[in-house]
Amino acid sequence: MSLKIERDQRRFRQIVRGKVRENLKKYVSHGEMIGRKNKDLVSIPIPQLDVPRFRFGDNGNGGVGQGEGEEGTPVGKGGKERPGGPGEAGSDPGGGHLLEVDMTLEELADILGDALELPNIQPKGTASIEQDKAKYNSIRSTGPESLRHKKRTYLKALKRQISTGSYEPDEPRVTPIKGDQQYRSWTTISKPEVNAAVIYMMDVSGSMTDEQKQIVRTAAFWIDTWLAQQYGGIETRYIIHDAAAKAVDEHTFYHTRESGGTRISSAYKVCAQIIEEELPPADWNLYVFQFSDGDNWGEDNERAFNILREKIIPHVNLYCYGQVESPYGSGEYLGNLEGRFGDEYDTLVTAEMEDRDAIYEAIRTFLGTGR
Amino acid sequence: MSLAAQEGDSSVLCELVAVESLGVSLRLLELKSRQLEGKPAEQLRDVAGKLAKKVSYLLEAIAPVEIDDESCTIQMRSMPPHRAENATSYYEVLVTAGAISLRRYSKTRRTTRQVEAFDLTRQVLLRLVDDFATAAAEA
Repeated sequence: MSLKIERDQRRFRQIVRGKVRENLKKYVSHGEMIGRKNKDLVSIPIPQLDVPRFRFGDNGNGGVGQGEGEEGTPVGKGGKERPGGPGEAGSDPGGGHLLEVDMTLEELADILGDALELPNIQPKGTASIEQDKAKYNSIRSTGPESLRHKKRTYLKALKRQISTGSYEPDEPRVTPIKGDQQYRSWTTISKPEVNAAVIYMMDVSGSMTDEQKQIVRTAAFWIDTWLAQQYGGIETRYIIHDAAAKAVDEHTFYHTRESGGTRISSAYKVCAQIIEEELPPADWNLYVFQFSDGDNWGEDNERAFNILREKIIPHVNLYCYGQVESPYGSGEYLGNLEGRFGDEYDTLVTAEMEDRDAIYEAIRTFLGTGR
Repeated sequence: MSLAAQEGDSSVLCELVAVESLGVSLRLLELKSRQLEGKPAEQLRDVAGKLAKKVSYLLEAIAPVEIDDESCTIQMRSMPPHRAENATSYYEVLVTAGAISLRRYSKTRRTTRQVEAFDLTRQVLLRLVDDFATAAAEA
């Protein structure tokens, strides 16, 4: 039987989940939780959550059978009348306190999956890569102090004392010696794993503003959350490009602004190279997400489409192109891409993201394929 | 209707939509100049910088947005573009190794961008050609 506190905690978590689900679209659109992400947890600011609290009664003389009055007189509030009346409202705005609750990324992914009705991903092929994992399932007599098994150590000391007659039941005192020490130990087991990798490509040319990058960042957070939950962890690679492309770390990916022209083919080249050299498609479920304002320099489209057709699309589970709208409107790459490939590939998915509110639907479009 | 004029190493091409006593409506204004030919992107960037400072009398200010070293092209656009209810309009000036061109584009949500005619008074047109020619000559 669970303790009352556990029941209360479970109920509180349900309320939190309900609130997050209720406001999910807002969280997705505004990326409020991205800066609060730890390795496994995110801190979510939840407004207007009614936290249970004690409500104190009045400290006066009110109550049953006290005070003056006759039978039938309406019962008023007890307590002493305070001078000056109830007081006036303050001049400052209300606090609007935000409660921050921690939620695991898995929980968040579940909520996202439920809200967007995302199908579970069917990994392609079989799990072909073996991963070594340590399982703590044995005991040995040597090891680091941090792994000392106190219970086993005392048990062994007790056995020794009983067998040597040094244990006195009237004065039970067990003193382990060096030979009694027991330590936890592990065995290495190989487990087949399904591996997934996500490659993000972003246009950082002069026409992409900080707002567009924030949209990309928010979308990438939710995509990562979903895929990581589906695969139990993912590898991530980042590529930025203007007229030239390079692989970068996550921080550089979101904080770089270049002034060069836009040549999407340069990013495709780097992406194809990463797939070929680091993430062989036979071993990996590959997801490629590309974000740009679509203002590719005209003559580059052909080059880009050729690389995409030959070296990227055939090898990936999903290639998604999200076109974010720049101050100059959405570019023409999306239309050209759709015109060129049409329905030729099931693995090609596109979405237009006019503003932050479009992220929600874009994620549904990208991840709704179940690939 | 096109209007072309040549003087020295430079030529001007206007694609006109309408000509009236006070001004003109045009779809393209282009200055070709031998002085720009073969210039590297670095020098074209300076030309674009000078134009950004000088040309402050159009509907919107213009500024370099993208610099493509490979094709030696500097793309300048209205900064910020004009946003109406359903459409965004902006000037686009391309400074290349050989020419400076000006167009105006309009873009709605569901269509590709379209070249839009823009109006200039005769004085502004002359001043613009003069500024283009000066920037090219100083390259």
